Amino acid sequence: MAELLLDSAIRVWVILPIVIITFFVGIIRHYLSILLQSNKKVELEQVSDSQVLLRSKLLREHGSYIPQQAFQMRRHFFNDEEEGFFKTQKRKGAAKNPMSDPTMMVDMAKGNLTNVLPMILIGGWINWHFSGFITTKVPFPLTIRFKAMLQRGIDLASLNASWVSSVSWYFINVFGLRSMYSLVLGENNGKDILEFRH
Amino acid sequence: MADEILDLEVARNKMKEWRDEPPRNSEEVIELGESLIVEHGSKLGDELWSVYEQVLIAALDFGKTDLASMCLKALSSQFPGSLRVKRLIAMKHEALNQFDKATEIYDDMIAKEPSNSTPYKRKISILIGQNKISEAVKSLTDYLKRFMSDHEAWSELTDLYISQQEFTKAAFCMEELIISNPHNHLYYQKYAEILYTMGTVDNLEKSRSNFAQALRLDNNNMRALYGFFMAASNLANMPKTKNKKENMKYASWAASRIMEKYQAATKKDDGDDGNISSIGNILDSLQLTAPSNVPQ
Repeated sequence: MAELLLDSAIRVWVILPIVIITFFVGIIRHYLSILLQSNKKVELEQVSDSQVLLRSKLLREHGSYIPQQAFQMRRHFFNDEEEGFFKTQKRKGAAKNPMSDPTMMVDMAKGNLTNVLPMILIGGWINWHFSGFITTKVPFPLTIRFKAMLQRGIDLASLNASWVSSVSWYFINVFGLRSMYSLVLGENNGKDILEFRH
Repeated sequence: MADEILDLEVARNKMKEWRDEPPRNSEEVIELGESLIVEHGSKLGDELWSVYEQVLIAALDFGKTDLASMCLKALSSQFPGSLRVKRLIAMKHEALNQFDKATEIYDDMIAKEPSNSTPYKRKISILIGQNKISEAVKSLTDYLKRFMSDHEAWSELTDLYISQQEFTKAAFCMEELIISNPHNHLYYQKYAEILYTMGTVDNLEKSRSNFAQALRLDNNNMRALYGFFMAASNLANMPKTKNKKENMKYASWAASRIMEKYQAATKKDDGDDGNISSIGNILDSLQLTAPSNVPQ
């Protein structure tokens, strides 16, 4: 089979634009998710409940280190039949159905909005705009099975499996640029700022 | 240029270290942080605001109001309406002795976000700062009803109760701390000291066993060793104690351990033996005089 030669305009007008677009979409997505992040309001009751549970857990684990009487006193406080803390304080069922809690729904929608939606939109646009290009070639031979993965959008039975189509190049970029983001945006950048906001 | 970058990195890491570690070396923080902000402020990125906060608190410690105002201005223009900055504003009021204003701000913060523990604690620390100990104890116990596993607060309450000589309650708080971290020998030592101070036979026995536990966790805890010796010799001299012989044995064991320690220490320093014999005398006198102080 004759060696394929790619037009150098493909490099300038297809490969590089896809890299740049995916990169900047990722950056925008990062800041968008910071913008949309809602402060989770924690109820005082929830906090104190979890602290009570933590204290009783510590008592169970390390109760042997304090005198017998001190342990019994605390056990009485938590678990006495009539006036124990866990007997008198009745809480509603803890496990909430996420569908019934509107704030959970909003959070989920936001997650979809910032993660899934751009990927579908940009992916669809790239598929439409750059369809049918062969962009690059992986420098090693691959079996025929990889064609579905690397040559999405091109159905040529005779084409060597090492060639990569434009849409597949986009997906490689989406998943491969993650370490670039952490380099550019910092490891957990923006986290500290968020703490200041609320 | 290379020198400058190195300097920036070193200073940055140092500030981060001080931010995360408990020792409060405000003087160094002010020195390094101020020059870091002035010289490299723009290169710090988002870390700048944490440095501002750090320097601000350090400046308040030292009463450098102008520096504090500078930091506060920068922070509040960057984060208007932030609760964290609000806390800092209140802390500045505290530093200027304007406790009413500070309390007002903290109350406002609590109303806005009742699950945030910081403003409660700041309010209690205001009460302590004004020496209103009984009120501080009251609000601290209220606080602990809601935030039961805040061990910092339990520890603070212990100290407050000790200052009020309410040893039974202090002992209760110490028990709480021991539960939180049973591997800390200082907790046992302090607990044992409280029990020793209360001083009945029962408490002394508990105290002795807690000193022993502290010693087991840290062999070199001299204070616990002395405490163990005192508790055991006291028990041995009390009329109500059941196993006097054993306590005698414990006391003499502790005494010999103390002597050994001092001998080892003086050998290292090439000191004369005069010290050691005087320690022996001290131990003997402790053994003789101690019981008379304790109600029997």
